[in-house]
Amino acid sequence: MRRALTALVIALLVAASVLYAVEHHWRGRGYTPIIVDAPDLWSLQRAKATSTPEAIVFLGASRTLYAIDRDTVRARLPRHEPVMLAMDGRYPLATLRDLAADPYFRGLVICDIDGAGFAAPSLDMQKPEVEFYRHAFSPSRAAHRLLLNQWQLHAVIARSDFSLLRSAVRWWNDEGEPFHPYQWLDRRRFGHIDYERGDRDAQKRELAANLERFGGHLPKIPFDEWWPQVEAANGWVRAIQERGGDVVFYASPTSGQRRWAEEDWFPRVDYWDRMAAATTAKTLFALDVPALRDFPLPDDSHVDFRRKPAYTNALIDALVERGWVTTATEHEADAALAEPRQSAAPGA
Amino acid sequence: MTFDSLTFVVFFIAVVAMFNLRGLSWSLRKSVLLAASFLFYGAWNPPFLLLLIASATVDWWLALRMAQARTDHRKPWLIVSLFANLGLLGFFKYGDFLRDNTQALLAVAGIDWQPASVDILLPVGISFYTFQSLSYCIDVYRGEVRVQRSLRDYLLFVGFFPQLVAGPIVRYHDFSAQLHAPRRTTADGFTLGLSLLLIGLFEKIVLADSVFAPVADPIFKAGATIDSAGAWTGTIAFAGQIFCDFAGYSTCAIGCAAMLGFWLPDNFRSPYAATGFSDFWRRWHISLSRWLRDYLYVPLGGNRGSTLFTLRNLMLTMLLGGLWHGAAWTFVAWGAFHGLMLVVERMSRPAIDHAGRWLGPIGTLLGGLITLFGVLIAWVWFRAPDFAHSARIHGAMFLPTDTSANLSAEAKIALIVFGLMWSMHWLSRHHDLRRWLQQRGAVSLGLIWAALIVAIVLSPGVSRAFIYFQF
Repeated sequence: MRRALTALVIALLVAASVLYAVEHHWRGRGYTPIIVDAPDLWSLQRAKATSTPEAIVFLGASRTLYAIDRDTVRARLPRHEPVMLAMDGRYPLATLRDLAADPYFRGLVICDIDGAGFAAPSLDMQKPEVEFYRHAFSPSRAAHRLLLNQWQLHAVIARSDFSLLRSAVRWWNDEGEPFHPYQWLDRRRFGHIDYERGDRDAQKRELAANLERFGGHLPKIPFDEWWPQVEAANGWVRAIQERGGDVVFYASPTSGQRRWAEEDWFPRVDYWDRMAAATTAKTLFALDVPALRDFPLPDDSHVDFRRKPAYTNALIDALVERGWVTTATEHEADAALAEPRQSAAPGA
Repeated sequence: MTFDSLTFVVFFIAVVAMFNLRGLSWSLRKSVLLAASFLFYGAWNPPFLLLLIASATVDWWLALRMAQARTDHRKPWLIVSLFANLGLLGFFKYGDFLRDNTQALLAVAGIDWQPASVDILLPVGISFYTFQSLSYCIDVYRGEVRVQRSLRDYLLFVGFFPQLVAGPIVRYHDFSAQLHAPRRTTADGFTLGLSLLLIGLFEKIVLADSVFAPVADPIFKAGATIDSAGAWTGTIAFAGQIFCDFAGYSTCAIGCAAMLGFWLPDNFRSPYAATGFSDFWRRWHISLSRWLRDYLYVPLGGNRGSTLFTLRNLMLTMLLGGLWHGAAWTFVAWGAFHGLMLVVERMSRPAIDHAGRWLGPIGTLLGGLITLFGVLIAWVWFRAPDFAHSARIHGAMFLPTDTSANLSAEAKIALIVFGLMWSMHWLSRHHDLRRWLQQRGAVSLGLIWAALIVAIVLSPGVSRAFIYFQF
């Protein structure tokens, strides 16, 4: 017994000291804990979309992931539970298909998608997460993820950039310190981008490089190859509507060169408008809404986290004006706001 | 639930605490373990827990009928058990495989058959628990073990959570005595068990998932660009990954059982230091090798007939052993290659023994390197998604291509770690890890635990499912 206790005490003391020292070192270099997105984190939210009858589900890619303010949605639409299923860099049709196939889902879907999102190569972009949710996610994984969230919220060393292997690779390659993220998620996967913390020159260079590839160089997708995905999506929309749910296809705002490039690639009249005329879903083109069209987008595509409430209010206003959602009574809004707000700090 | 999850940490602490509650009878403590085992399995997919219970209950009942029947009337009950177990395995594991191959065969005959596509989810660990349950029925049929009259105890034998989903495959005669004698957590068992649990987690989280998998996975991904250096590096990394993943699981299982006062058999003994294929199978997945030997190879006739008969039995055993791992022809090819190597080894045994005596330790090392080379070649079939992909990797391994890009730092680290692991296997090929751990003093043990904990906590990469869960 004495041997076991002595070994245990030594192990805990030494391990705690070493881990504390590593944590202290990285915190001293300005790093803070962050939630790391992963299929099981997404699946937790996906499960919520099924279990919450009045869910308002946000689908899309980074523009929605980093733009929607959960507290604003809860305050303005307290009858709905906001669920974030958008994924960075990936179009959402696979998730829409999954929601349509789910007999228990009857919520409202705000599906942020543009012309490219209906192209065949975009169709299965979110399929790996959907497959994970369908076949690998379990009550055990859910419990693990909830515990892991707590660890990631409190420890910098929970981030894989600080792992032993990554440290060895950095040392081997003579690389600098890990990237200081200027974008982060909260534990419900609502994202934040702080454009004041990022390397603005690097962001501009990346944007210019993207547009260089984007503008005028992308292969045009013939309408005949594009339309089948629209028809398939219409079927999914009808399935959701038949259960009492609804879908809004929403083309979120862009500005500057990016807006020009998108219009060049998928001209609105040839693609979006024809889709809007054929679908039973509601459609909202952000450029038709002045408050959204003129919304400041630091990189022509995304919203700075300080302006997320304003952006979300503008979007909800547009939905309310069209009669697609009803906002809270004063009493409901007060009750929703009485709940603790999500902190805007990284890792919260 | 998996050993490398935070859920398991909470679960296991609670189980150890409840299992050791003062005043609890042995019968109640076994019930606690059974409930914990059901929770462990059900937390993955609750409906499949019913399948496990139903399958084990049927075998328990059939074994009772066998025990009550006269010796010459037992066979029908055994046949029912074989049909029930193999039918279950066949439906869940080989249903798609059989359907696809029947369809292809009929197509060759000019018959266009379009079967309905059924999305069958494979219950985790089904290959392990059906083999375990089946072996019990066969042992009862043979009169080698006494029948278990308590359904609770039998369910605990099949469903004991440390070994439930990926082995070691426990034999009833190894476990039955442990069900009778009351046991609880002891200081020695706790010390040994925690050591093994941490070593297992280190192998899985730090080595398999963090070091090896990121190098192996890209090479075996469909459409991967494969050059010679990449093919060799990816294959060696996979050899490291599969060992650390599977041996890691087994080591965790043995450790958890030890912390609860139970003993489980070893499943791995430095397999990459094997000096021949028969030696490899005495060191790799030992519980499966023994199962196949006792319930397939020996009943087929073993080595009791002519040389040709023995070689046929070896080949059949390895082919079915390959198929046990997965419902794909690539697994059959993997088993066939190992079977072929066993046949070649048996046929050239006199020459090998002669060379061994002549070369001494160098011969042993040479034998080890040749075996490792063969094992690496075979892992390509095991891991590749199809034959076209395995052919591309084998081609790149043996027909050198221009390597335009240098190896990444990750690949170099994986090769170094594999080299260290290989050396460790050679250094410990005659040693018993449990005994070595039991001989450590408190301070050195504490420092080993601390190093393992630090390495595990500082490896928060992508969590990958245990590879053997799919078998």
